[in-house]
Amino acid sequence: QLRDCIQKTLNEWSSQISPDLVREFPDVLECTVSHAVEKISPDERDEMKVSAKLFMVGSNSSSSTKNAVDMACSVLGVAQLDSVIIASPPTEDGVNLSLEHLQPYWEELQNLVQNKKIVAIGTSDLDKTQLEQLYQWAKVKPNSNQVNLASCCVMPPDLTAFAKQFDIQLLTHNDPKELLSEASFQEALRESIPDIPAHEWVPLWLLRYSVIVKSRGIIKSKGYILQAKRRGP
Amino acid sequence: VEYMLVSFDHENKRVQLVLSGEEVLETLQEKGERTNPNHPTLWRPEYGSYMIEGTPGQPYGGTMSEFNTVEDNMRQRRKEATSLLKENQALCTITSFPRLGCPGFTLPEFKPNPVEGGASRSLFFPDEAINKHPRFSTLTRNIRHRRGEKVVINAPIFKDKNTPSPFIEKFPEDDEAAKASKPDHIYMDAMGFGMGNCCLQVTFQACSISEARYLYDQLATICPIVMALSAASPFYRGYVSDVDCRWGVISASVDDRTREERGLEPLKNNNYRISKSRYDSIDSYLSECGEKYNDIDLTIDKEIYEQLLQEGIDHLLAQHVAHLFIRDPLTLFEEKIHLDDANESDHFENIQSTNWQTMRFKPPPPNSDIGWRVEFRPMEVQLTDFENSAYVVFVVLLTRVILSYKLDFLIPLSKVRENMKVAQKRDAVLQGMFYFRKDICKGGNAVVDGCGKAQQSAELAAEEHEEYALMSIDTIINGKEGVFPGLIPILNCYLENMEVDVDTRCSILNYLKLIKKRASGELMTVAKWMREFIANHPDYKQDSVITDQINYSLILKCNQIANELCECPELLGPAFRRVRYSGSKTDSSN
Repeated sequence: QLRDCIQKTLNEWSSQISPDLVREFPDVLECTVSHAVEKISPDERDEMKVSAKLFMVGSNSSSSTKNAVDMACSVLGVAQLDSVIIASPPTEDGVNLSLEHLQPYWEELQNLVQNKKIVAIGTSDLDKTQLEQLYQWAKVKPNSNQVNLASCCVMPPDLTAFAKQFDIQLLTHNDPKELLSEASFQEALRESIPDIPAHEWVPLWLLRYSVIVKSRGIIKSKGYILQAKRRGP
Repeated sequence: VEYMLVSFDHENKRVQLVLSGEEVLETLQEKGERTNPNHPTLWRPEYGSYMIEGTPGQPYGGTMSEFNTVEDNMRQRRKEATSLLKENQALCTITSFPRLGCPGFTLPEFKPNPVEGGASRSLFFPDEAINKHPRFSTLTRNIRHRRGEKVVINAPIFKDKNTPSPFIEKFPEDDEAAKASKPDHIYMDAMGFGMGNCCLQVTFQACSISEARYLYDQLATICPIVMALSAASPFYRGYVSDVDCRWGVISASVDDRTREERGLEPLKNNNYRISKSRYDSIDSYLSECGEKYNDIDLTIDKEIYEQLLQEGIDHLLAQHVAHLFIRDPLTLFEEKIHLDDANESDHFENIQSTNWQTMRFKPPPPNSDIGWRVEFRPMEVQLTDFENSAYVVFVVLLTRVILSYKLDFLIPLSKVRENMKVAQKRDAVLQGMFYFRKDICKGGNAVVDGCGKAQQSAELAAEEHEEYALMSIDTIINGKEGVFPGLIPILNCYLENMEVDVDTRCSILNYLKLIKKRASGELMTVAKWMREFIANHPDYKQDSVITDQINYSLILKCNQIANELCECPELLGPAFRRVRYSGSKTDSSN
């Protein structure tokens, strides 16, 4: 689904721009298809819950988090996201996720909460130990932790008990471990814009947002925002 | 959910329907809603004196965690009603009682008294089995009088190895029955054979009239599919039938049309030919998008139609109401004849509530803030609270998905009517092929608030031919590569985008697993399971006859399954209870 979205967007976008633009190596390329994005009107804002999940793709500067949230707010025309969940950042092979991996992103998220850009922040796929470590260290506590759909009927009791004690919502997700790899992004790029030196483009982060009509369980809109950086040839 | 009260006679291996619904109902209401207006359950009378209906006390809310309260509430209903029963009695959620109308099927026992002064005049179904509230016997008598004869129900018999062929029942003492009964059919002659069955219904509140009309139309196409998936009524009057669903039986059981209206005699005293019973599938779509698929000749009361148009009601809604009003009122209370129509809608409700269709469009009564509602009515009731919750949650989720993705299931209404016929057949869930729309995504076009007006060019008609195809229930529910995405995959996609807590997600996972496996045939429908139970019963003689002993064993087993005293993996999946999240408040240990 995600690759479809990327390709469709790039196809449509590239058909609308001057071909020179791609070759000219500008610093910032904004590829959006404006009719596909629906801004939330201010008088509907209270009825909506705007949530996002942020996936870090490569090694990343923590300011990516702020970029992503700012961009989501501006795309959707809102001042604030109701919830942001950070997917566990990728670690090197064989290395378990530890608090240190999360800390830079969480610090950024905390700032965003304090600056009222986000209401609540949460984590994904943390076990009880990881969640506890984060909880104890964090200034702004995680409000939720997502677990994989596969385990929703066989929850580890220690995680359930901890979450209950500290009022952390346990939610479910069905995302693969790696939602978007560098390679598959580049492949999508290559297929959509044949002229582009696809290998030079590295995805940095991916944000998936959804806008839900709160009391009715209806999805108003959903989409992805992705940032990629061009490294030197 | 509708329930039957049964009583086991373990010594003589018999089970009977207990005619105590009125008293049980009185106590339930007294202890419940009348003591506490916020009581979590509500109880209502039903047609049979052995029946009661239970609903949640308040409508469920719109958040995801509400899905996890449905089963809890059903369990509470079962517990509440069960607690009032006497020794050896039980509360059953079975769609049709296999020996309904057989000698001595009620407790206390009554002999049918087929005389003109009675309500049913049935050879099989004693008037004492009808709810004692006068509404029900009056309905029964008036349907019979209006029709000009007893109702006629002929359900095809299932031909087993030793079933006589042709299968002919003789009624030497009753001319009417002798004429009405058909060879190779199980003959029934009373409203109770239909309205004395139980079913499972869901009502949705819509946010606007246009959303209600949209949902009404979309869900109408789903009715036959979910009915076949919920099939639970293979037995009638002590025989094994060749249908799996109650629909045709109920439809015939309240068919009040005269011979003229049925087209058997030229119209003389009546106004219209009417093609269907008051109890049947819907006859017209209500949304603008549905208009071009309205291909059934709609009989309407022209005067009412004109009046509605004049008052500013649009064509589609006006014809719907004018169609409802081709039926006569079946009961009227003297003191409710002269009403202030500006403030009371009793006259409308009276007609509306005796038009028993697959879907019901419910305008809010005057001076009420209840909003526009839509009722989904085709489902057969399942043995357990788990299954009933699964079907309810499936349909509710489907409405959320339809509204979120603006899906479009519409096909010509005549095809939906054909689907309803197929859906009742034995093993339709696996054998039946159903017309279903191929491309259900309107590509994000809002269909709720209207779409293009009906166009009818030849080109479009040709294109329309390709809009739907015959599909199996497995394809419709689970999807098939290159043919149809499948409703459950779409539901799952929706669920991935919602914030769902682990408990709720686990319940939904198990519910959808049941639906998925029933659609694929990995699990049996209740109808199929009952058929197999009978076929393997040592007393069964392959003659399509369900004896008292066989009936006793079956209902006893059903009751054990419902109360989780035994497992039934072929019906529910392997030890499904244990899969439920252990910390869930709904978990019950036994």
